[in-house]
Formats: sequence, structure tokens, C-alpha cells
Amino acid sequence: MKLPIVCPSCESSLKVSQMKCENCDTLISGNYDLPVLLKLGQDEQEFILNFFLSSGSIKEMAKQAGLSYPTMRNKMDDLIEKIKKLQTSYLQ
Amino acid sequence: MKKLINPIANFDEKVLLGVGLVSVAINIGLGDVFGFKMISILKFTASNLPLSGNALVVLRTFAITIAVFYLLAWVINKRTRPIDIVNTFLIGIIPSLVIAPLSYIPYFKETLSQVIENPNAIDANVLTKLLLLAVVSIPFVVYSIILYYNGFKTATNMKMGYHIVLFALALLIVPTLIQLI
Repeated sequence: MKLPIVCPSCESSLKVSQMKCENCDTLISGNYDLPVLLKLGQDEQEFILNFFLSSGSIKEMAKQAGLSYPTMRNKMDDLIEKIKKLQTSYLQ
Repeated sequence: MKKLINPIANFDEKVLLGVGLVSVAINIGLGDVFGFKMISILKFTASNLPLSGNALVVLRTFAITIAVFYLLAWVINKRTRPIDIVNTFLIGIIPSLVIAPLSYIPYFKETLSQVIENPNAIDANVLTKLLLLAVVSIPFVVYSIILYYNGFKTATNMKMGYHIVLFALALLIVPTLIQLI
């Protein structure tokens, strides 16, 4: 099941308010921020996973996707910028 | 179709470089056969240079163009690879190569000579030929510019409005610069 990261009503970022232990049914309630990587869209998370699985080779990823190296590198640069912004807002 | 609009984004750089180098050879060869030389991107003039002289002019034009645009690319994004700029300009010239010989085939060459010699005496026949030449040429020129723009955009990841303005200015300035150097 896809984890929602933005509010379907107002499109603000969602927070974690409850976690549950599947073993003993313990419930933890609070107001937790989602980790930075989980704040990314599904495609972006898959991009990072593919990057990891191809041993950090953008060239290899480009080959698998049938795209050129600069296209993949641009996607990576845009993602880096987005993560930097998310990190900054997370720290604030 | 998408791949043809932006080959730099979709094809391996080695394949593009190979095609680009072949296009340079064709450029020099066509110039020798039809009697023209590429004095700038999108600009060809009549020439009676030997093959080696024509080759030097074409290579010099590419060298200056690529150097200027690589400098601009470096200003926009320091991670731009030279190979992507080289491929952008070697590939971008291909549509122009289709139309470059047109002005030098006798059918249009005589018409253009007439217009240059006597611009006040343009009859319907000459006008029709000129219009035909323009109608055939414009889509190829536009396609060349699209290839330059998309290739440069992909190579540099440019997004800001002023990057696009700088690119457009460079396209206008480079022909003058080549003639000055």
C-alpha cells in the first residue's frame, strides 16, 4: 500500500501521529516528522533505490532506463536540491 | 519523435559523437561538391576553397562555437560535460546540412544571383522560387535551433529565464565572433 505523504485535502505535509506494535498491540501516539526520504514522491524514492541498487552508477541507471547520462544526472541534481530544501525545512 | 527532438537526452554520448563526426565529414564534403563553406552555425556562404581549406573553416567554426558555448555552460552549471556540448553542436547542424546545398544547386543559385545583382527586378517567377526556398528551408532551420536549445538545456540542466536569454544571446553573438577571430 502506498504511504501518503501529503494531505489529500490541503496538500500540506503529513506527520506520523500513531505507531503500533503488531506483536503486543502497544500503541505510541505523538507528533513525529516523516524522515526526509519518506517525504519524497514514489518515483523519487524509486529513483534513489535504483541508484543504490546500481552501486551508485548514474551511467548504469541511464543505460537501464534507455536515457542518456545528462538526463539522469539532471534528475539526480534536481533530487539533491529537493532533499537539501527538505532537510533545511526539517531542521528549522 | 521525442528522441528526435532531443537526442542528447535519449542517446548514448558515444553514438551521438559518432553521428556528429560523420555529419562534420558530410558538411565538408557537401561544401566541396556544391561550393559552400560553413562560416557559422546556421550560416553558409559560397566558397571556392579546396577540400582541405574548407575542412579548416568548418573545424574552426565548430571549435569557436563549442568553446563559447562550453564557457557559457560552465557558468550555468559547473558539472556540464564538454562531450555533451560537443554533441549538441555536431548534431544540431544536421538539419541545416539538408538545406545548405539548396541555395547552391543551379535552379536556386541563378535566382539568388539575379536577386543580388538586380534587387529591383524581381518577377513572379523569381519570387515563387524564393518563396519555395524559404518554405523548404524554414522548418529545417527551426529544427536546428530546437536541437541546439534542447541539447544545451539537457547538457546544462538550465532552468532560469536568464539562462535562456544568455543562450539566445550567445546564438546571436557567436557568428559575429567567428568572423572577428
